[in-house]
Order: sequence, then structure tokens, then C-alpha cells
Amino acid sequence: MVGNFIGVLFDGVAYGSLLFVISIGLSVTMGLMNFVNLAHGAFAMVGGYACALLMTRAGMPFLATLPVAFVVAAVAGIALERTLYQRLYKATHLDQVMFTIGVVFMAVAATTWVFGPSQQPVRLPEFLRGQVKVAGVGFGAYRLFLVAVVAAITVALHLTMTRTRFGAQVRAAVDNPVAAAGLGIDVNRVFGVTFALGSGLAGLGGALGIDVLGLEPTFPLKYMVYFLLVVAIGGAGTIKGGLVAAMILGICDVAGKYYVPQIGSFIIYFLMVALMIAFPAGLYGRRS
Amino acid sequence: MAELLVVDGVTAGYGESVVLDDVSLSLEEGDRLALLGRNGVGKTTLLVTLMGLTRLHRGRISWRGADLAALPTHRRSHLGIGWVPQERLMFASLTVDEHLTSVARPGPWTPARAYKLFPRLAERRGNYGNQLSGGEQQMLAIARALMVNPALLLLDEPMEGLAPIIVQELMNVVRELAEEGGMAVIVVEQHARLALSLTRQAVVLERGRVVHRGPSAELARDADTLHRLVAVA
Repeated sequence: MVGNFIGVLFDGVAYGSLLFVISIGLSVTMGLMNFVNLAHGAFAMVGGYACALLMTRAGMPFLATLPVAFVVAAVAGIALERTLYQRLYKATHLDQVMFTIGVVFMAVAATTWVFGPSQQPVRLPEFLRGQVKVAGVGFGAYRLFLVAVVAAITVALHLTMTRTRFGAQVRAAVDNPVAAAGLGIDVNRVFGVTFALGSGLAGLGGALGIDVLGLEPTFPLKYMVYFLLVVAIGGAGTIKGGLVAAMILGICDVAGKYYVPQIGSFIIYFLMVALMIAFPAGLYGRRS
Repeated sequence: MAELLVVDGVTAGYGESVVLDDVSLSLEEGDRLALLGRNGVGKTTLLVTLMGLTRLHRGRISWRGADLAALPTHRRSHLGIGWVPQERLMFASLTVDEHLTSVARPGPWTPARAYKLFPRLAERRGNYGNQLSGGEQQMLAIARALMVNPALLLLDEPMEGLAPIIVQELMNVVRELAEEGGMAVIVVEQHARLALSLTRQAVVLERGRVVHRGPSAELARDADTLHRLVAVA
């Protein structure tokens, strides 16, 4: 019973880790750049497809595809940001929503057209399959791997934001874009790089998540609500908020579906309503 | 001395509105200019127009002979315009040290030199932008602007709201910078006499137009004119 509970908790953490990696870029674009990007999940899908296709068509090993997934999604992100997104930074949120939902539909349709509507397979390496026994409790090896990778990414992200000159420039550009520009910081470039980084992380998350979330052309629609929930609950623009919110969502979703399967799918919505009433700006919201 | 900055017939404002009306002035390398006038006459607007933060309706701004109009704000900073904004515009989530390092560009001015100029900031290097007193914020705003290694320093009401003793300290620093550094300075200041004592020439604005220009010392002696153009505190 206790072992069971720990197992569910752990699965929730692994699930939450995935949500975090994918959503953190969305949190940045919404919180820092004030841009509503509903198409964020499309970048995760790009990473996922890069990973799946490199494995099935080019025979690349899973681990080797992960950096490629990051790069491909980051490049896709920066290409769209420079050509299209940038024009809508000053547009109303409704325009941004209309535009990005359009991008989602195009991504879904294009992916179906090119790769077909079916689920993409993933072949995990031998050592990431099966279970690892710790103190009598079995943990999925792949989920352990997930948690470890995400923990490393979180630390790296935190250090980048707090210890590097680039991180300081991002924070300056967010605190006061006018003053930052007036002191020589190229705010557009800083935001562009940040956007690419966020898209790349989504792509990496999409690749890491094939085994857990699945991968098919409707991926960006299917998980859009989850990504938005992470941002809404965590408070846009904070790494810590996103992490905590993703963990809460991951654990409650997995636990809800396991213990009360009849209403399992609704648990996160109850949770969201309750948390949004208690913390309208999110747990670590910047806005007053 | 060569012309550093030429403002020629500039009409500018925010959006459709016009705040500055046909303003012209010029500044040589290392020159010091006081920009005076009552509240709301467009002094700050002129400075932020130099930074490219307003809409330039008409006129020309040139820097060492090159037109500035098409340059985005951050590139103007790279050319060597150090902006000390009104209200200081601190970065709340950056430490004092990060305020300096995040904008620093190569040149004689380094964070270490700025700390030597303002020892108070060295003591506070780990504090965040919103954890400083008014005087410290102003020191940091000046130090931060020096990090871009400016050829021209724009000081927008640097003494506003500061205790007299801090004003004295800052005055000495600004004087030192202007006299030794070879840096050109434009000072916007409510305390007209203070600004005049720091500068060589003065320009007075009224409702967005230049209504007086001349040597600072002359204007400082002419109490009647000064009083008529600027409410002297």
C-alpha cells in the first residue's frame, strides 16, 4: 500500500517533470514577453517527430536524437519568431490567440499530411526499460531517467538565469525594457534567444515524452490545456512557479486517475479552479 | 572641437502629439550643456528623443555627422550615449553588480572603476535594484550609464528628491566626470543654479521651444532673466 503510494507519487513526479520541461518556454513567453503562444505544444511535437523519425528512418539511437530534437525545435522556434511572432508582440491578446491557434491547426494538418495520423513509436535503449528496485519499491527505469534529466535541466536553467550576463540581460529586459534598451541591451535579440531556448526545451520535452505522453499529430491540441495550466497555476514568468505547478499537476493527475478513475480526468480542473481562486496571479505570480 | 551632437529643427512627441517644436542645439566633444525650463516644457522629452524613444515628426539628429534617426535605441547607446533616466529606472531583479556587468561595454570605464567612484555602491553590490536608497539608486544610475563608456552623458534631473548632502556628493562626481573625463554632458535639472554651475552653455525651453540660449555663467548672473524663464528655487 505504502509502496504503491510511493510508486504513484513517483510517476506523478516524472509526469510533472515532462510537463515542466515542455511548459517552461511557454511560461517565459507569456510571463516575460507578454505573448500568448497557444502553439507552444507544436514545438514540442517538432522535437518529438525529430526524435522518432531519426530513430525509425535514420537508425539513430534514442539518446543521440535528444540534442537534435532540442536544436530542431529551437531553430523552428526562432524561424517563426523572426518571421511571424515578432509582428504580433504589440498586437492584442485576442489577435495572438487567433494567430497561434491557427499555427496549431496548420501544424496538426501538416503533420498528418506528411507523416500520417498514427502514433509514432519510440525504441528506448535496453538500460532504460524495465524496473529498478529501490528498497523493495519498483521504479520505472525510464521515469528515473526522466526525473534526472529534468533535474539537471532545471539546475542549468536556474544557473543561466541567475549567474550569467545573458540571464541578467533577460531579467533587465523584463524588469524595464525601455531602460534596458537605453543602456544598450538589444531587447529583441534577448527575447529571440529566450524564445528559441524555450522552444528547444519544448522540443526536448516532446522527445523525452514520447514514451509517456505519446506522439501523434494532435499532440499540440491534446496537451495544450496542461501546458497552459502549468503557466496559469505557477504564475507566468517564473521557473520556480512552473516547476511547483508542474509537479502539483503531474502528481494530482496521476494519483487522481489511479485512485478515483471515475473522475480522474477532472481532478486537475477542480484543482485549477481552487488554486486560481486562492492565487489569482499564480503561486509565484509577478503581476499584482 | 568637432561637433558631437547636432539637433536640427526637431519636432517630436509621443504618438501623434507634439511636445518638442522645432528645437535646435549643438554640442561639441566634451562640452557641457544645461537644459532648463519649467515643469512639462519638454526637457525630458528631448533627452528621450535623443535615445530614440519618441516619435520624430520632423528634423534631424546627427551624431558625429551621421544621422541617428534610423538607429534603434540600443544602438544609440552603443555609439556612446550614456542615459541616466529620470526616475532612475532601476532593474528590480538585478543586483547592483549585475546592473553594471549586464550593460558593460569595453572601454576605460569598468565596474571596478565605478566602485572606486562610488564606494557606497561597492558596499551594496549584492543588493537588488529595489533595495537601495534614493541616493544610492542615483549613484547606480550614473555608474550604470558609465558602463557603456559614453562620449555623452545625459543626466535627467539627477538631484531630484535627494538630501542636500547627497546632492553635494553627486555634484562633485559629476563635475569630476565632466572636467576630467572629456565626456560631454547634458544636464536637465530643476535646480537651475546647480545646473548652470556645472555647465558651459545653457538652453532654456518653454512649451517645447527654445526661448533662450547662451553661456551658463552669463545666465547665472542675470537673475531677472533666469527668474523669468525658470522658476528659481
